[in-house]
Amino acid sequence: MAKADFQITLQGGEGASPAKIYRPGEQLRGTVVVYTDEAVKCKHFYIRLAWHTEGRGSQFNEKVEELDVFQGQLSASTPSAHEFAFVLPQQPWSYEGHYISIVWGVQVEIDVPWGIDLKSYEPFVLSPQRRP
Amino acid sequence: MSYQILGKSGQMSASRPGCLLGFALFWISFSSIFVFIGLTTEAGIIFTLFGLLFVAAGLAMLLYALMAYFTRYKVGKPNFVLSQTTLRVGDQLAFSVSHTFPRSVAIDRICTNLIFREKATYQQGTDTKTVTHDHIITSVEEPGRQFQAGQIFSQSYNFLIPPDSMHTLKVRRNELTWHLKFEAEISKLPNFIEEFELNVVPEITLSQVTHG
Repeated sequence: MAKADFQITLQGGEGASPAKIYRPGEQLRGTVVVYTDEAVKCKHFYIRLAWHTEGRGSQFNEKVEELDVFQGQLSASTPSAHEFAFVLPQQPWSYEGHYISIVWGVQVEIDVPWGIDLKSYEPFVLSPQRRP
Repeated sequence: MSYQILGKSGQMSASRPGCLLGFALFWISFSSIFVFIGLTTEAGIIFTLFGLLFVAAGLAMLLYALMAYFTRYKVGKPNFVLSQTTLRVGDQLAFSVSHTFPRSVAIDRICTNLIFREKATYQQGTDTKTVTHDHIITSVEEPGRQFQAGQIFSQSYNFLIPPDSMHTLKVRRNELTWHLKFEAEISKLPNFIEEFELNVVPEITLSQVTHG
């Protein structure tokens, strides 16, 4: 079974740890670099802008935008790099509460035929600019 | 019961003893079938007692619903006015209540709360469970007193949706909602509760936006 090491870099935004902050309507740009330990046949290389709920309630997922950036063979010797850009929607804003949290992120998924898909996730915060 | 928003009337979300009353009646009639079977057949005393236990639970629900109706009878129908029910984050909301008490009633406490509610529904085995958590954002309280028949109670409050708060969100099995809850505590009776749902849209009041 192939293993992959993902490096998702988000450009711009504010702050660094644990997640960068972006504003609604802003453009989110970034790069995904993937290193595989062996050659992997890639049916689809998806980069998605998505949000989901976390906490006590049953999880709700919403895929806002999806890019299919590559189809073909991923080589073990050469890292595969892909750029992406998404315009962030106005809502829902990120939230962390008692029972419910709203988490935004960039999902990367390599659809491997007849194999386990390779996945990675980079969260970020979607929040409007407020007066301190 | 109705309320007014800028002169227009509408329906509010309120505590509904009628729902409980209906459910209690259904529960009692359904449980009574088992008691009837236990008494008319040779099912045995245990079967009858088990049925009676359910009838007793139904009667307790019925009693509570009737007491809630009695609270409403004692208090009457206050008139509520909300400046708006659709707000932005950072907006102010004006709320007023005016009431002429139809009967003499001793109220322990009158409380109005601005609440941000988290409601999560999840599956546990074959059961569907719902949990709620209320964040009380603002609470205003009036001291309790004895109101005589014909006495007028009138109050106005301003509430602020905090600039750093979250907007309303309703997705499958997860809800983040805003409510204004008016509650009058009457000793030995269920509280008189009226609740208004507010729709807080994902926008910031212009005065709260940082420029530059």
